[in-house]
Amino acid sequence: MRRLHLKLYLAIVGTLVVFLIACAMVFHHLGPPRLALSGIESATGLAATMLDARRHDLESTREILASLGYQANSDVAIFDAQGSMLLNVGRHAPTLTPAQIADSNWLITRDGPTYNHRLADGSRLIVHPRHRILAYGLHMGLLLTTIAAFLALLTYPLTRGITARLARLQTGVQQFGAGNLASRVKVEGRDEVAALAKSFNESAEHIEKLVHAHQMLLANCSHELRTPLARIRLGLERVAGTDPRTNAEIARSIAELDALIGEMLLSSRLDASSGVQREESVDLLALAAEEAAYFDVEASGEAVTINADALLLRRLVRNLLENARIHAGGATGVRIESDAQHARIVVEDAGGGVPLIDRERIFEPFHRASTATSSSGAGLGLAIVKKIARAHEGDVSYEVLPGGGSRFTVTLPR
Amino acid sequence: MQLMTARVLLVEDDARLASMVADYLGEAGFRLGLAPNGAEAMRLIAAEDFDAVILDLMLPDADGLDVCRSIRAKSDIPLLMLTARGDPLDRVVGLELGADDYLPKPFEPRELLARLRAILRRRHAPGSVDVLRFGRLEIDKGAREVRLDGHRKTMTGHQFSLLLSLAERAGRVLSREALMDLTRGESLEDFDRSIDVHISRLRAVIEDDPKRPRRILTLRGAGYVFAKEQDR
Repeated sequence: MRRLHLKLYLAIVGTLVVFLIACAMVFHHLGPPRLALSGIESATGLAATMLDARRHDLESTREILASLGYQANSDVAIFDAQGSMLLNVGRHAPTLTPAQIADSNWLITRDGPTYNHRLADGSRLIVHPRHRILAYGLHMGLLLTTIAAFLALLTYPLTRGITARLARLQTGVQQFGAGNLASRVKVEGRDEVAALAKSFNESAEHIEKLVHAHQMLLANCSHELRTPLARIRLGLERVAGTDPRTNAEIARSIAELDALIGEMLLSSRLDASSGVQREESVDLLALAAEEAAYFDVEASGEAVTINADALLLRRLVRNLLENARIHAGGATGVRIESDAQHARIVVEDAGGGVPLIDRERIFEPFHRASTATSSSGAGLGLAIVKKIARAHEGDVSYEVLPGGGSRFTVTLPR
Repeated sequence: MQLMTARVLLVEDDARLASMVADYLGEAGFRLGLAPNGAEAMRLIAAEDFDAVILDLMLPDADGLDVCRSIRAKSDIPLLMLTARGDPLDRVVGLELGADDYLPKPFEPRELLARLRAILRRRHAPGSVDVLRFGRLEIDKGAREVRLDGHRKTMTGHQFSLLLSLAERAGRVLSREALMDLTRGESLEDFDRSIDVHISRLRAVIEDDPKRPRRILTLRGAGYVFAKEQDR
């Protein structure tokens, strides 16, 4: 994933680089700063007028040249028209080509820009600024680059700050998505990110209320349905003298109704939650053996321990065994297998198997086999098996065994 | 104190169920007090002397778990929770908050009676802290005795050690070798016999039908499992 803050930061750095390039181009186009140049030009012009008047006096000439050198902060020299230096004040004067001597303007010499002014007698007054006007551009560029680099350094934490809030927002939303409905994000600042955080919090609040209401409804349903069941059960106990077979049948019906209520509630709870608690380490073989014992079925296989919700896995194994009992006269065995990544719970029976047309739909709630002759068994059992497996990031599959019979395989991550 | 004349407070918001339970327990010899909500329950517990409380988890004015917590803050009266909630977590929370037992609705009336008697008896039995309970089976570590439905079962010290080793690792597959190691420190007797013989003797004592064991299960080629959930 390309990080947003890097993108933003790259955009800023890019802008700075473009700005620097633009500066360089403008500088190049305008040439050296006119102000500094015109200062030298006017000082030179003034000195030239004075020189033209007092050229015969070598002492005066020297004084004028020294004064100009001081004012223009330059090395100053006088060349004759042929290019030989006649006089100079300062450290040194540039070497000039005859073509350059003939010119009368700003020259670019190897030592930098140099001003060439023609005196009345045809000789040349050469002024070479010591502060190197071209280097001025270099200085300018260096300064701008330093400022740009400084800005780039300064804006990094800034972009980090903006996107860090987004990152925190994302973490909060992720937590919420993972099932922590009470999780909220901190609203920081007053911009769009803050507005987003605020609206997320409002939505989260709303969702939490809805889910809570749903859970309350489930819990209340359970209570409202089971209290009358408890009354019936208690009433049945106190009806004396009736046919014991009728009593047993009523008791069994109550138990079935109770189991169905439990399954419906479990099913909706599994739908409502995004995952299950998998903190418990569960010995699958032991769990399978325990459940299998209630169905007089033998458990076998490898001792595998996985992190899971033990109560839900118990339910899963029980539902598979119950399914085999109802549809195939009982399971022939429960087997635990494993490889590096997965543990498998395999339940087999020797019944007739599920007809092809029903195989796709056996894990659907309240699916009734096309060949079903009795009303029993149509329910949520296998649908819950699938939901529990999925809640553990696993799955369940069905296959018909070669010699007839069925095999249900639940695959769970280790 | 006679168990049969114990005074029990029933906290249940459904008046019809409450009166039926009252009648049923009344016939069994208990004297019942009724509270339709948490506030009334707290008032009655403060005002009168009860031997046990049967508390519905779902009350109109308060969560039964809160009522349970409030009762526990004031008294250690035996407490049986009734619940219709399908959430297995409630049971854990309820027991952590100090309920002595838990019964889901719709309950078998006889089971209610049995559990009520059991929690009353436990309160009268000294040293009940170190007791492992698996359904109707109680393994008293302190007294080194085993009770089924409250009746003491006799077994040798070695058998008890073996049972305890199993029960303390309920829900885990234990190989024969592991079991030998676990019990060797306790007693040196009888080790010429195989562990299977000891297991079958244990089964004869604690299983309802030793031929179809539900508490100590055999896993061929792997060992034994002591069932975590028994008598469900």
